[in-house]
Amino acid sequence: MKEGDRWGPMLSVAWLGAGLVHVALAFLWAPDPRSTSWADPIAFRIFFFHVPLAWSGYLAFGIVFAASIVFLRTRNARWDHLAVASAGVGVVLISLALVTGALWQEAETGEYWRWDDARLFTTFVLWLVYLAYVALRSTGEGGEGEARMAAIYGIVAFASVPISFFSVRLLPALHPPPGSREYMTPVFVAVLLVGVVVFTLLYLLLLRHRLALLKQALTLEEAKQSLEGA
Amino acid sequence: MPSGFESLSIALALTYVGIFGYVLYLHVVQRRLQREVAIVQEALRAGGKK
Repeated sequence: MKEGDRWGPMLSVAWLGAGLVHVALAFLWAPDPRSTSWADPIAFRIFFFHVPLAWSGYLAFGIVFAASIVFLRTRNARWDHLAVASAGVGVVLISLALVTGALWQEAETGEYWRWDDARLFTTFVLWLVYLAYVALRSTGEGGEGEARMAAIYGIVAFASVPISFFSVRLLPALHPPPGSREYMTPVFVAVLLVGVVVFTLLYLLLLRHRLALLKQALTLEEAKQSLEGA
Repeated sequence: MPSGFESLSIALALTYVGIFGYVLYLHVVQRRLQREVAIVQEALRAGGKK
């Protein structure tokens, strides 16, 4: 058994345990928000999943950005693979952040979607930008030229992350601005931080799995080329 | 219109169904790739023996 194969199940079990602890803390330990500006204090607990999902999605796209820069400097295909894998995982995480956010919004305002919420709109654009990246990479022919163009795209696309994050400071939004303290008691911060750790670990696990798949696809491609050459 | 508890439960269920669904998808792709690699390697071995 390879070293990596032994770590995979152990990390997955550790993540599952941490995830269960996080769910229990969010349901049982975290008190209702002290602010009266939230219509539904129970639905507010979606916050503990929604925010870490969005954070891990931003992290995934940050890795795409960093890996794209390193790829352009070194032309080492490993960094391109990291960018592709991270973008795929990031799209899944941001999709879930959008879905949980829509459910929370419905509980608060009676509407699943509001185009006048700057954070919602800019995050939707961010999701589309990276969905396009993933679609292009999964249908492309591969090769150095495609990887180079994708790296440039991955660097430019990252602009949508700070736009999404800071949009609530610049434009009208239902989302509270980052660092807002109107509902943040120490217990809330603690449960939120546990959530951030759990979903960051999830991101790393999924990234590891995606990278293993990319490696396997390359092995297959090389084996097919050998077969054609034989 | 779902209640707050229903919204929370649906959000939680969708989050974890989404995660496990994605993991399942990755496993399915992995199995398919492993099968294809095995077939190609077998063909390579068979070609080498000729």
